[in-house]
Amino acid sequence: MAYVRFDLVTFISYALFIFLIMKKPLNLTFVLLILFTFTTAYIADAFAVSTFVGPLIMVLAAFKFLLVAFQFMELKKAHLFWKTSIILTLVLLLVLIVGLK
Amino acid sequence: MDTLKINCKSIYYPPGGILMWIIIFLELITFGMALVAFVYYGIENATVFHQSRLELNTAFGATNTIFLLTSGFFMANAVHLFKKNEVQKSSVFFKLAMLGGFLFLALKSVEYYHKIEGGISLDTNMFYTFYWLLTGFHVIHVIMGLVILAWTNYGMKKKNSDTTIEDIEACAAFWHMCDLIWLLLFPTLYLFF
Repeated sequence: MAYVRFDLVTFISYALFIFLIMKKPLNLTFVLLILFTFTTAYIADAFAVSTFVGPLIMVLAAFKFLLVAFQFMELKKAHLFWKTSIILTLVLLLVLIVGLK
Repeated sequence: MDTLKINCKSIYYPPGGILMWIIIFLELITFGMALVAFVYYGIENATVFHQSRLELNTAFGATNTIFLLTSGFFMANAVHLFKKNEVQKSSVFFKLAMLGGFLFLALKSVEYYHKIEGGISLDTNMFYTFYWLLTGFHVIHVIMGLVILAWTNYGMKKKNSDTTIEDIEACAAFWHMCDLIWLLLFPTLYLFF
């Protein structure tokens, strides 16, 4: 089982490396999004009983949210109003969700 | 085909159009407030919410996140290629984006099937009321997004197509909105309690 895991990690690392050297911002964004998703799944599984897990998962979700909004939706090119609005909306929701708990 | 550059730095022209962004903010606030209500009731019924959350298949949720993010990545590439006037290549990425959406719906159907087979419905408990309503409305958005993608893809390939970059960006913005909503739904519903 350990060998299978190692091979899988090697394969994924190699695939990511190939993908990254294409040097396209969209590719890098996609790789980061997938890494954050795996990290979230790992944290939720490995530290299920810890109190910091909930807020940490939501912070990772917020990073993914901003990556999609700014890179995929090209909000990085938009007027400051739209950038500020999306960040404020996200922060407000996170504060309410995490703060309530 | 109109490929005029839009001044996205103007407050009136965010990528995808101002009307689409008003819709996106309304949707985010609506789903966001529902999630806040979900957490509020979750604190009052902590045991029920924790037990119900453990019954959800996290692997399905995480896989669906990968499907939507991959689909969004293809959509972003489709817009990028359309801007470079590579319509055929853009169309291929449109179809790949749609494939991601269909995979999401297929896996969601399997998840729903297991829940219905296990006798879990809208009135099982408060957790599942939120689960069915939030994920159900999200699924409706994904289906609508797929219809919009299919229609736009059909339009852009036509001879003498009048599909503009604004149309493509608006379509992409709606599709990415489904990603944004899911990125908030997944951790809150599947992992938070």
